[in-house]
Amino acid sequence: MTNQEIIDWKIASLANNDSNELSEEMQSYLSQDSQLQAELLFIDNFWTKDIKPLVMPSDKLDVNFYQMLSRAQSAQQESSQQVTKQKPAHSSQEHQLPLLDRIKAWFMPTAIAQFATLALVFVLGFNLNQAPSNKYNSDDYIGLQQEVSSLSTMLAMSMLQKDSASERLSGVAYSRQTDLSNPLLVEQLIDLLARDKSTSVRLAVINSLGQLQSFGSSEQQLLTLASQEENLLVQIELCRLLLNYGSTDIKKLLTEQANQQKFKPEVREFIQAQSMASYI
Amino acid sequence: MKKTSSLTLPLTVVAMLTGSMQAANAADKSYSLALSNPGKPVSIDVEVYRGSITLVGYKGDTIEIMAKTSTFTGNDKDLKKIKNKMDKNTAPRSTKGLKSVKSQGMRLEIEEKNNEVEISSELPNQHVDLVIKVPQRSSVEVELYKGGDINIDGVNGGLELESYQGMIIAKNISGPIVAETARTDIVVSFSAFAKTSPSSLTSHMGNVDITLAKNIAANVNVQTYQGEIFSGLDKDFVVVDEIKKSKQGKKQEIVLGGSLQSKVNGGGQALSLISYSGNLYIRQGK
Repeated sequence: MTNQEIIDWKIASLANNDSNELSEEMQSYLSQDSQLQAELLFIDNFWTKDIKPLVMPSDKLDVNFYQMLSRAQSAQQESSQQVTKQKPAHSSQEHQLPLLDRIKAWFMPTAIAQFATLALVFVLGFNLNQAPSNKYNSDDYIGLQQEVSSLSTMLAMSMLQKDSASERLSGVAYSRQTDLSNPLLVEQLIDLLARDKSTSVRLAVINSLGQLQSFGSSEQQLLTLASQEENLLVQIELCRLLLNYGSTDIKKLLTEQANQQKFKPEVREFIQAQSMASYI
Repeated sequence: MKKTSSLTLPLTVVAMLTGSMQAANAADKSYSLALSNPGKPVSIDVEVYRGSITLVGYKGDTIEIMAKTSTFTGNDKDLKKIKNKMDKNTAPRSTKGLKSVKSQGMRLEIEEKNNEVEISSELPNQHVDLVIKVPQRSSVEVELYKGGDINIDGVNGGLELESYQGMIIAKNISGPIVAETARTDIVVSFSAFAKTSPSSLTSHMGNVDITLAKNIAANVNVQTYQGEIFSGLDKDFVVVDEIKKSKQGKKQEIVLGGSLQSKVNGGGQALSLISYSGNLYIRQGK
């Protein structure tokens, strides 16, 4: 059980508007962590209170978000400082190489081997000493990154539901700050792509979906959306998305549909040009 | 001489037709609307089927509405469709001995609740020219289906503008703005640029023409498929490559040749300009 799992559960339950209770395991985990309780309360408040654009993001959210960001940044800085501290050790060894060459000329090979072994032991020891601390910082950093990603996910999902197109655009921008690993967020983005009345929002969603590592089960849905789309700009960008990042099968299907004249002439021309470019 | 008259006659007829069309049953009305919560944020939602909309920001705290309506007598395919449908459902009646009485009234609905104002004219056979004075801080949403243009001047709040046939012209604004037209131009002049949310201007077939005040910081993204891009900015547009990395950093995917972007004054909030076949003009203001 991790904090992340409980935060994900909270976001999912708010997004789906269901009141499923926490499992006993989660409840006992949560009861021992007052900070996590405060975070959940904050998420709850943020979600349920309508926040006007002029005060968005809220001051409280700002404080929490930037505190997390600063913790993440300082953890990253510490990690990189330690890496740079290691660099002189490597470079001093590199500087010794021409010296070794000179020594090589003056001494017997056994002495050189002894010196090299000593140097190797020193470098290994130095690295091994640093490794646990680096790992700790790296885990800490990944943990904080996940927390920041969760907050961005929460913000994105909340803002994608707003009435104002400009706020929905903000939601799409926040979604780009996550790794889109939350399936609910991806589902919400695709839903917005299918029904939003603003072309700007729909194009921004397509741009954001380009960050996905794989379209998975959404790929077929995206192809259906592309073939049924009436908005020329959206149709072209959807085709570009599938041609750039889709599986080989979906690219083949898309090209077949273009050949069967299922798209507008401009889109067919675009697909043909893209297909030709991929052959070159 | 003969040549001159043959040229001027059609022009005069067009002018007379237009004049008669505008004059037919024209009515002017103005209304001053007090807000429930003066000094607090205001949101204005205007939806007009046919006509033109002008919104001007001012330092006052009431909504001043001036409306000029007339019966639309021009040719409209959509209107014909509606009329044909209605004619099919009703039997013709005799008008013998009756005089035609033209409707003098206008229908414009205005609603206000907690500083949220809704103004609408949805009759397809009514042409309405609206001039509305709003507090400068207002956020505005406008939707215009047919007729003229949407004009905005000096409004500092968020703008959402959609025009299906006319142009969108906005000046002295700071956004965020999301605007869309089908075949007509979008012309926007920014005096400042809001950092709260991204802005985006999309014209499917028309041009997008923007002017940025000298001190504005923004990431200007441009994309046109068949049009051209003209820039007067000091900062050049460069291609932004897309880089995707998996969570564990095991896989990287790089797409070279993405969208074009200019980071004006060091960059800032996103401002996207998109058109399929129109040109994009980016000008540097004072």
